[in-house]
Amino acid sequence: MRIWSSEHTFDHEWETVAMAAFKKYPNPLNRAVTGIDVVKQTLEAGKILTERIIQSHFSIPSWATKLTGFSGTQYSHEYTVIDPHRKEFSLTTRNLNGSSFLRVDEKLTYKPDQEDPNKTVLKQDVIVTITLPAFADYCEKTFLSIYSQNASKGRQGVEWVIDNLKKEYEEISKKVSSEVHEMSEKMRHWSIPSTSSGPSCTSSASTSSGGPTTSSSSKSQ
Amino acid sequence: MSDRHMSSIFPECDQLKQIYDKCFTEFFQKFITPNYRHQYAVNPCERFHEVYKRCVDERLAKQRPFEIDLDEIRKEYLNTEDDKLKSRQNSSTPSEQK
Repeated sequence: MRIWSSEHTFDHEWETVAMAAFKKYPNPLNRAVTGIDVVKQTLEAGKILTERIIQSHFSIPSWATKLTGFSGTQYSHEYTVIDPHRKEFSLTTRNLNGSSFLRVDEKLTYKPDQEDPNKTVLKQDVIVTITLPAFADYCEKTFLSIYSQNASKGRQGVEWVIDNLKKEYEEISKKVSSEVHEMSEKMRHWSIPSTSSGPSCTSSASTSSGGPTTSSSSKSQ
Repeated sequence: MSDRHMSSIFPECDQLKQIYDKCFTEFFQKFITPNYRHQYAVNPCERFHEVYKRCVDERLAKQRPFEIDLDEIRKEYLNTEDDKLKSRQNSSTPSEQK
């Protein structure tokens, strides 16, 4: 079993981030997600409880398919609780395929930064457990190294959606703001293909300078 | 408000999903604001969801794209989030309902 944790601060207030995180897909940074269905969405005591099934497509090596029977199409179950009163957005995800040898539990929480209410902190924990006759530890490590890269893409995805929502609002209100520079900065970030020379479990993801901050850690148990 | 649309896993249900998503997104935008009366809110798009969910449930049952029973996962959540929610509800609201 291995655990990976990370913390990231968005330079936006909670409502903005929650809206973007809720409508995160589709976005050009997370193209693996190909379908989502909302199987439950209720309001209880002022909170929105949502269950979704998420379908993703991955390109995985053929040896892995042979070894595990894993195909490129995966499903996961996501449970979210949005509490606008306490300003808390929590999201729990579990894989629905390959459960006989793989279990991935992911938990994300978006809360306002205690020191600066104009910022939002994302806490992310993932626990991966692989039960294979051999290489389990290696596979867990590999999984988390890929995961940590994707995590940074996920955060950039949320940033992209925030920009996109902003643009949508601007179009509605027909206001012209001077955020073109910031926007092109972000476009530059997500259009450049990842150049990192190899995955590393402990390396923190690089984010745009001066803005959001990120820290991450990984440990094995 | 958004022209971005995440499609349903099942193409046959996509149109129903779009109708539901549009309705719920409009509600969500209002709901998320600090001054909204959250406590007594209900899902105003529930009827759209019922139709859409029926379409999805039928296909999930027929195609079985994954081996895990969703009810088993739900049980785990019930032992955590929902229980906490219920105990909090019981302690904070003195059993009067509006």
